[in-house]
Amino acid sequence: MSATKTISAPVQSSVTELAGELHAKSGGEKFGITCEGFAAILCDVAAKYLPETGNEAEARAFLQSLRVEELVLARACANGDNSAWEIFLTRYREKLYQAALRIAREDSAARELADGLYAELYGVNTREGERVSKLASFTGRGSLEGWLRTVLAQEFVNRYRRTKRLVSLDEEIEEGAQFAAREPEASSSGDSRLESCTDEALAALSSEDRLVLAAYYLDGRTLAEVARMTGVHESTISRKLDKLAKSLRKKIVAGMMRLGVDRRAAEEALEVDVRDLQVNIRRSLGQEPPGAAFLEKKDGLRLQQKIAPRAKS
Amino acid sequence: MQDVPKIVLKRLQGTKGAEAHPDADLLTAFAEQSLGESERTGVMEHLARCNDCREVVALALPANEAVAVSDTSRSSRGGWFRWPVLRWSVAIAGIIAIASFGILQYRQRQKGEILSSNLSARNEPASSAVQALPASPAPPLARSESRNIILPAQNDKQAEKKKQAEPPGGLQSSATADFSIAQPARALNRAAPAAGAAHGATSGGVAGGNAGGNFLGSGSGAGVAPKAAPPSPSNTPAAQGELKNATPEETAKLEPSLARGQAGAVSSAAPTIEAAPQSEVVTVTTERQAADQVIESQKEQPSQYQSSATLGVVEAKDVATLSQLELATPRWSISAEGTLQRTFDGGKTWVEVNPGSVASKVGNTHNFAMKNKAAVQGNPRQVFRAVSAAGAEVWAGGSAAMLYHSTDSGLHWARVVPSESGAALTGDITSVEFSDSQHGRIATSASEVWITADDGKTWHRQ
Repeated sequence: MSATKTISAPVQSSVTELAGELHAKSGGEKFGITCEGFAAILCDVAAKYLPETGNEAEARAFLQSLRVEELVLARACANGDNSAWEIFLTRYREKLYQAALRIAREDSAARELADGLYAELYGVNTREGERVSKLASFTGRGSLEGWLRTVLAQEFVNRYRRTKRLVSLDEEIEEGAQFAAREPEASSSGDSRLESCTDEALAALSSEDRLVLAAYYLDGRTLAEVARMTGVHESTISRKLDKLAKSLRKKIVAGMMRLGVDRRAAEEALEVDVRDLQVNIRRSLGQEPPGAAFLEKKDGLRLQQKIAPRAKS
Repeated sequence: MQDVPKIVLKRLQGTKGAEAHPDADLLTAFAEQSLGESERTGVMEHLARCNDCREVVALALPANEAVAVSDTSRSSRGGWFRWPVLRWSVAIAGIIAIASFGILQYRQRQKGEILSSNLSARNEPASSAVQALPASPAPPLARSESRNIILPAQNDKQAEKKKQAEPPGGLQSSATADFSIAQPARALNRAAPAAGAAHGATSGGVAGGNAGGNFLGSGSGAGVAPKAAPPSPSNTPAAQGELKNATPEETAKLEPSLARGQAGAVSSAAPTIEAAPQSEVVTVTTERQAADQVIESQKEQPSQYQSSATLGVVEAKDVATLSQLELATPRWSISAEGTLQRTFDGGKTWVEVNPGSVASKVGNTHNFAMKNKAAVQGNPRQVFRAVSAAGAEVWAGGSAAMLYHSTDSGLHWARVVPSESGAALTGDITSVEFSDSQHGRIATSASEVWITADDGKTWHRQ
């Protein structure tokens, strides 16, 4: 396996310098991965993530942050090494099923999800007559266990998205689609000044703030989930959300006032919006409680209802 | 939690980017906080716009159990230092501090009251000598004596009550009478200062000794006796000398008065006084009457009534009958363990007396003050074999030629070593017999018999 992307000289020298040390640390020898082969893997990973203008210090820090032991194990599995597969199955098989069950929330769906991933990991697909294992894409940026969970989650989301497009008419009727309000029109019906002020206020926020806002208000995640996603304490998230809500309102009103709207009108525009009414009606018809946990659960149940008949058949 | 305007949510939803999703490695590294700052910001920027990737990250989070376990372990590590615990700890500590402060203040106030009452009692020594005599029956003398020894603070209150019940005029006249009886000229001069208790203890003379006992009783009742009225080594011999230089007739007169003086001293700390079982009916008059009568009678017969002055407030119908009064005389006993004991209530309660452990030896004569029971019990125990009491005169002997003499019913003790021409008494004293205050006979385990005819001043070996 060779790097498909060229790497800079400082990165190359860093790889050469650290290859021996990291190879010994990874234990690649027992899986038949030589130091040269391991250096090629490192070059592959570095070429994927390090910029071509990266200096040697960055390259060294990057290489030393890799989980080389798991990287070697994954690559050995991808190469079809039996001892590596034994270790992999011993370490991760049970965890893989548990993660699948936690994601799918139903046993048969979880098994289907996990088995599908196993197939991909083992490499049932072939490319140019060669078996292609998904484990070959593991780069050791995070833990192998975390990577497996992420891959499972991606697979789950992909399946959900696919099955969402294939909802039958009967299922739509069961879900009350015939009673649902029409999707609100695009923002053409709104006040352009309000939208521009809102966009401006949102753009002024940091990416983390917008992630927190989106995860909590759009995805309906709980404070604990948002906290775990961002690696911040739950109470910090709560305070941040309060602060963001206040500052956004203030900034939007200020922006509106800059555009010639008086304060009262700006505040009314924020409070009374036709689209708010539509959103509320939609929620009422769909009988979706505002609780985030239930939303998440409902999503899971919906997917189970869609996956389970297929699994039974 | 404040709601954001719906327009914000709408615009957030509409800002979905079209760029490629981060791969699983990056999302994993993001969830595990192992990305560099720039990469993390880039991933976060994408996550802020991409619902699918946010869902992937949320679903790929490790199980709650692991997080819960780590949370639990973290909370167990810092269990005592978490904010809720600290908050309640601070509150509890505050309550405890306030309560402690309150208790300390209360105790200090009590102590201050005691001190002020003591000071007032010292300023008015007659308050301890002159008894307010309520009509209610009094507690037994022995009990008040024991209270003098054991519970001085309790007697403080009694003294305070007495002081409140007394008219000031009576107090003054009684105090004057008390001191002037002993040595009229000198005692009057010394009775004038406010620290009458200390002066009373050091004023010398028979009445001085009694007054010392009296004030010791009243002083200990006031809670300051150990410091306020220590028996003075320089004055006490004079007091005893005067006592011993008295003629037999005087001594005969003094004996009952000493006993009464002791009774008065004992009872001085009590709110009321109780006549001894043997005493005749005693009528109680006002303090002013009693004091006046005492002063008048003292002018006529100063030596005869000096102890009745110490007695203070007890006034018989006829002054002449005072000599016939027999107030409570202590009874003495030796316990099986060889402890000297004394009772004032006919044997109902016995108080342990340890003469040798109270005071240090000074010359040939030793004074011992029964300051408190704890002091007595805290010293090594001596083994007594015999005791003899004639009125207030007490002789107690025991092992190793130990012989003690008290002239005030055991309040003060003197160590006596009988000797004749260089030869001292040896062996254990097995028998002490005093027919009166002057004549006595002591037998020892060494088959020695010692006889005195002058109250122990000189001894003859038989």
